Amino acid sequence: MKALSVTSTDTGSISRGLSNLFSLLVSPEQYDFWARQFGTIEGWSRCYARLEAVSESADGVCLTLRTNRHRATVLGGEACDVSVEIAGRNRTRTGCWERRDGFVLVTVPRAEDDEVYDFLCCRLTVGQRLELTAASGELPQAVANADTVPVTLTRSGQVVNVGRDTSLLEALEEAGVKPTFGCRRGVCNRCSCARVRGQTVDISSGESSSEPGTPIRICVHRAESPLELDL
Amino acid sequence: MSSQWSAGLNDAELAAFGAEIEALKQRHLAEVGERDARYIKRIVAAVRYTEVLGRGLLFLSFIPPFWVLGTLLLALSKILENMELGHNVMHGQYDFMNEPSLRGADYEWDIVGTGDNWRNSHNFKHHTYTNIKGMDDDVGYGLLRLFPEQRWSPFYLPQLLYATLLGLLFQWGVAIQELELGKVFKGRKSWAQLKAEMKPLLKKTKRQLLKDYLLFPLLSGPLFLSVFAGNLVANLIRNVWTFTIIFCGHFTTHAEVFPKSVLENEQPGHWYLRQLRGSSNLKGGKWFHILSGNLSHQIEHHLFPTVPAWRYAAMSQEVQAICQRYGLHYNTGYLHQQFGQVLWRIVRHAFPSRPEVCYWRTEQTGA
Repeated sequence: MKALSVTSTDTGSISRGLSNLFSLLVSPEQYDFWARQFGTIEGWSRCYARLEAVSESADGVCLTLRTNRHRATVLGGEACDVSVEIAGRNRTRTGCWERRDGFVLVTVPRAEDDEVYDFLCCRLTVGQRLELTAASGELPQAVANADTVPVTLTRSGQVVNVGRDTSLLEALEEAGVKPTFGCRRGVCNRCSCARVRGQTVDISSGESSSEPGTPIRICVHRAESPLELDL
Repeated sequence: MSSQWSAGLNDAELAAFGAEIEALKQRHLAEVGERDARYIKRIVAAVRYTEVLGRGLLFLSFIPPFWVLGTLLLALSKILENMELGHNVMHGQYDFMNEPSLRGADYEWDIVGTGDNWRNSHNFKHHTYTNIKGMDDDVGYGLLRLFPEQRWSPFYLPQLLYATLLGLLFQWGVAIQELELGKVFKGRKSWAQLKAEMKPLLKKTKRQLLKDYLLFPLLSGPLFLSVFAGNLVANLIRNVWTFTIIFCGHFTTHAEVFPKSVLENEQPGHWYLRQLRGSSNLKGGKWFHILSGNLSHQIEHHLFPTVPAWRYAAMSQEVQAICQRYGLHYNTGYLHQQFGQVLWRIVRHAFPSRPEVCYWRTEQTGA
């Protein structure tokens, strides 16, 4: 038993070493690019999928997907996130997944007035390329009419309440969190972090956005709803 | 604030100027979407195809013209990757796509300097404190005296030689810039801190050197030296090109350097004005702009670092119109003209020189 485990460790470190060496010649981004150029859904570590069938039911839209070898890394629990490119942006929605006949079926719940849901229902064609990612957690609920909203910081697991009237950077600093920052005027991108979930408002343009996973500059965005930030 | 730093504009005019520039930015940001995504994906494809073709031809470089073509294609790939792709992506210009491989905060580029160092020394320090002496390390890169406002010492006499070396080894200059070695020698930074900061840099350097100078040459078998030389020359071409473009962006005759005091009581619009006065553009055709990573539109890049750079050509028309209305100088010229001015600065300020009009000193002394 002992000998066996030693061997498997060796194999593990050898394969890691080879993979490291290979990544010098072909980076993960290059690998994914060429895999796509050759018409496959193979990826270095990302779980790409090909749409095999799509159907709508009372629950929502059900996508039948053929995935690449990385599905185990994103399919945990009952939910997963599915991303599709719409007008140059990767848009993400959460659905329930199940395995059937070697395919992964993802059901995205019905949503009214949601262009992403509508796209998944009506605009997807068989053969379309999508991506699966691990589901992000549920957001804490805001207290109605409160001036502050809860912000979950995914890296530290901390939850802090921040005001909705100042930039997220200032609000987080007031709450004792010290995020990386630079110019504090929306120029340098040093404070950029992924808004995993929730709605923020760009202070200079007044535009609100809520697309999960999109990076935002927290020095020029303020919270509009409960948030989850990759900090 | 001295009216000299406001280019003769009063506070209201300065604010109005800033508001017009800001409105222009918002108008373009509102349009950002599918076209921008398509553009950067094409650039990614160009980087990938030219690299594979270049490296492929170098593997066949027993036929001499293939060595030349392969080297040039690899240099082209590295130039596009550094400038139009890496530099612009790291500014967060394509963050809107929500595509992990094009995320500004994580992108790692194909040069020895780490993306993280660049994000701090360039994105933050250089872009926030553009041409402010003592705050923007790009003013002379701690090696050159390019403005009479910098204190002269005999160290600068052979600076044409330093500049030539910096041009040839530009990626190494960028790599060590953030380490601020001068502070270590002067005892203002500990060796322990330097060692800690060196760690990620050494890791990156090792990867870059292994890739270009060991693994790819080894893969070519008997052509080891030929591939090694091709990679070396491609890196040199990229170094000299980026050095040339970047130096033309802030060190032409009319590009200005500022004292730290400009930051005190900064008026609305003044930040934009400072970006305009500290930067200079290069005229050229579409391909010239792409190859310069659109840093040929240095003024627009400094006014709008987060707007996808392919839009600068259109924006520059509007910026020029705004500048004309406010009577502001818009610094632009062809590469040979602007680079000639840069060379003159390097030669001239190797020797003692004094600012011709010393705005802030007269202000400080109350003269």
